Amino acid sequence: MARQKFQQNVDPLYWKPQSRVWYTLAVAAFLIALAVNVFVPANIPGLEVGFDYSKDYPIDPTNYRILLAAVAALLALAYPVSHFLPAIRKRLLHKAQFIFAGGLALTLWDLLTSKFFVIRPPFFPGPVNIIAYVPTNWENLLTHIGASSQLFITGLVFGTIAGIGTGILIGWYRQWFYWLFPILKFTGVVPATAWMPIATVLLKPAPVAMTFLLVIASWFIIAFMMVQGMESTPKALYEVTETLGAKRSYLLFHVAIPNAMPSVFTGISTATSMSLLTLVAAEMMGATAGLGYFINYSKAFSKFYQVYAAIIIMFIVFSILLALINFIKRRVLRWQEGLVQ
Amino acid sequence: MSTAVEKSGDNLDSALAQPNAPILIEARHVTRVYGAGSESATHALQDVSLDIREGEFISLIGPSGCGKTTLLRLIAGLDFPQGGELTIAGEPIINPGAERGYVFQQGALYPWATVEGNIATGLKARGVYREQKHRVAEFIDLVGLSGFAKSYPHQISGGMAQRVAIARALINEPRALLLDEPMGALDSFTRIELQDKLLELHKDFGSTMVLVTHDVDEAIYLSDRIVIMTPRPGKISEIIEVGLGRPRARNDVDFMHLRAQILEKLHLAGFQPQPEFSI
Repeated sequence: MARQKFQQNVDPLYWKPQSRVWYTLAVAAFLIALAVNVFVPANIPGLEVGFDYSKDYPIDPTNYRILLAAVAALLALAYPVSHFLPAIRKRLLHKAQFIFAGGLALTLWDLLTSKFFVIRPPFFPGPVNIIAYVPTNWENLLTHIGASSQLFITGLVFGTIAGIGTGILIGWYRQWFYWLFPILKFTGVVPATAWMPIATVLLKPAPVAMTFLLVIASWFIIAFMMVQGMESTPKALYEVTETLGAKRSYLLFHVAIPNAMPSVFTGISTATSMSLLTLVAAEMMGATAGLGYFINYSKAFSKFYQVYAAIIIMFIVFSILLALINFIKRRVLRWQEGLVQ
Repeated sequence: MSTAVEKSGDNLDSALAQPNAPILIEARHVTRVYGAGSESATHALQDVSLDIREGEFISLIGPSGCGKTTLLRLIAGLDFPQGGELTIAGEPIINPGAERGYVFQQGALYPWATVEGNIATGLKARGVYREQKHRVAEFIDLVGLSGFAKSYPHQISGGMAQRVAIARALINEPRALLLDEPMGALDSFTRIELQDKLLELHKDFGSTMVLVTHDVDEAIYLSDRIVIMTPRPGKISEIIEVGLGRPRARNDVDFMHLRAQILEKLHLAGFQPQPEFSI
């Protein structure tokens, strides 16, 4: 009996997709967070405005409260709506425990910072401060987001083009292999950020230097993976294509390059994380715009709520960029669907 | 020259296995040594001569290392001989070409292309895809894979993959189809099914078929002639005319007799009872 029950309840994909209790708790957690923020009095023991935090320290709780109420309302609304969308309901209920934990974490964070000041500003702002800040400086933040995204995309696109281009040359022509491959192997080991002082001196204006850094952050690894992917082409595929009447150029474009695509996308994934790393590091050091720059100057003014805001924004923006790359990858490698890697 | 092969339709073996059909592929004193000069040099082929007639189904059989695959690769132009010469219709074989289709043991399909895309490769490679696009669907039907046009190689079975490989080679209408153990990796049910498919295609297309195989039954079932090869150095030991009518029965007495004969020549007959003398 017990075994049978166990088997019936296990969903292969989702964890407890039938549980309504957790979902109710999730909604409750956000309502509790709201109640705590509204009803628990703030106790500021010996903190001086202008010393412990500046006059423009954002303490207006309205935005935070609107957010909590909105999340609770959305969750409450999603339940009846998802009744008609069983797939989404399963996912929603699956995530219920996580949402619940998120609500609790916000409550705790709020209590520790804005309410009891156990951990203190300016280094540890509460959720209230961060969320109060963001809309007041929205336009400024947008320019920084724009600058970072533009730089990242330009760098990755040029790096990918250069990487695939040199990869093809090295992987296909022995002369290029002879001359370029050793260079690729040795320079590829050096992190892109090491070039920063040289790049900022030699290349003006600053965005050009930063694009250069991002390009070399992705170039080598993508070229390397392209070469590897082309070299891993089974000999039989070349041979069978030749017996079908193909010329050498056909072998390159219809056998070697398609065969290298999975490997290239592994390279692009690595290049993406290297690019993000280089992007933030480069912006912190030698830029006049961008999220990395924004973090750095916020730190200089001890406005740590801005640092946290930038981190949260980075999380959102970079996730979107990664999702975009993943989407392209899935389109190009559609043939791999269902293939065990 | 090509007019010599006439498709008579019903009486297939007389049309295709004519002993006086013109010779299509000719191998003269072909030698291929791997690692020549070193001590470990292997004589994959030594002084091999063979005539393959237009429209015939010929099998190369023998133990591993007898050079049967090497000979097939030489005919395909995927490898080169160190001595002797190979010609197809009088022209020397130097490079691979579309008139000699090749089917690999594991199919060698492009994993990134669909069944349709794989079969269309020959047309694309020769730059005639635009005009002959419609033939792709025709060839998918021909090998019995209608409905799988959009499937990828990893989504179909091994037998189906071999059918795709065969269709991919046949769409070029090659003068010779070279088959390198195409059924070697298949289970016996699929294998028999595919053998019948091959015979059907041979009948429909009338192209010369050269099959490399380990399987004696397969060779007898399919071929007009069987070339028995021996290893170290690889050479032809005997050529057997099958001479059975078609369609063939696998449990036919003549079939069994021929099998026993070939197995004995390959020293694979197993235990032989000593003849007893009695009056």
